[in-house]
Amino acid sequence: MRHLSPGQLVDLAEHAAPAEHVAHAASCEKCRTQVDALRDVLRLAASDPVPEPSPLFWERFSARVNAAVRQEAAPGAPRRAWAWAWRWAPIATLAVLVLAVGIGTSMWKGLPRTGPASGVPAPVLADTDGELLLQDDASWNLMTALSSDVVFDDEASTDLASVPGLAERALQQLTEPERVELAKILREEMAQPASAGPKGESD
Amino acid sequence: MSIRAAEWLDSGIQPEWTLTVVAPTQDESGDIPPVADLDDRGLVAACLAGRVDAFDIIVERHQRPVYQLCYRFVRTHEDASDLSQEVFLRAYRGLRRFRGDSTLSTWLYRIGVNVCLNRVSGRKTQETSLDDVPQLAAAAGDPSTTLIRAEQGARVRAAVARLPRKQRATLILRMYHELSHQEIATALGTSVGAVKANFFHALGNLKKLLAVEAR
Repeated sequence: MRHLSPGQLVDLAEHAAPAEHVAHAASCEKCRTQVDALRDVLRLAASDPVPEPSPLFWERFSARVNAAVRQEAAPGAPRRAWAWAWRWAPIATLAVLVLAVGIGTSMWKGLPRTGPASGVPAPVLADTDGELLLQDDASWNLMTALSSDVVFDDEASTDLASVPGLAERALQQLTEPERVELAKILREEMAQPASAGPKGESD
Repeated sequence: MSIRAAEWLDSGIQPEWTLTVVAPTQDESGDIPPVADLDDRGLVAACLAGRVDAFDIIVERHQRPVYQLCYRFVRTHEDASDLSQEVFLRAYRGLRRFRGDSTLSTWLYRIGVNVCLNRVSGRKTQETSLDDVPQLAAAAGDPSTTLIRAEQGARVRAAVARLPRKQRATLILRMYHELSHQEIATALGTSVGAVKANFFHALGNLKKLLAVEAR
């Protein structure tokens, strides 16, 4: 004889079994004993009500839950769907910073040097805050690079620079007729009256 | 009969009646019905539409069974109160996930069982020995029947607390909340056959625990 399964015994104990199972239990002592035992426990366990809280409890409980709910975002708010993203914000910020530093470093290393080509050190100057250096100035670097190749005579001929003693050195290089001529021009210029003023100026 | 509004406009015919379209959330007078008149599904819809006061009604309607469920698991008023609040907060946060496949109460029971089982698993379960429970009065003629029942109830609760998790949840939902096997299966995410088997073993274990105490 095949006995009833646990599920079928439960149905019998709860008076919800089909007629064939009821008939089986009537003729099977083992199944009937099990069903009787289940009903005994059901009766015993059923006599255990939950202690009723104070009548004031429910009102206070509702108020507490309602207050807590109002501090929550609306249940239909889409913002909640992205709330998890804020947990990753610090990590994402850090990752962006590391990436930016890495890219910036590699680009800096890849840039061509714009400093003086002849090995002349660029002047290290700072502004009033001591932060801005002239060696970082591309225009200044270009000018120093060009001027490093200019010889003294070229500087003098283009009036790019004025060096002390330059006039005496030029006089020594003049020939005798040139010195006579120069002296004549200077005497004429010095003989002119002071009130005459420079030519070309008028009221 | 079907008449298009455009034909009226072209022919200059004016209907003798006025068609008024009423939104589903409004009654015939045009007023929004009070949330207290809505059923559970209506309350959920209203809540999702932004009416927080609808959730107040949900709490009011279901707070007692939710509290009793929690009390069955933790057996102290303070813990049951805290857990009940947690159940409702989780329900509020997850209200969009309630699809209406089950009743709202079954859905709340499901949340409640999860919250309670997490709590009793997260900390050392309060192991109340059956010997700690006041002894059942042996004499049949004891005048204090109320006291006898209280003692008996305490011993049953202590025995239920010692059942395995699934058996405990199944027995509580079936015995004390009168959920159908199908509703319990939905609440616990299992099959009806598994629910019945769990219930069978829960009753058997309960009998053994109480029999041991009775010796």
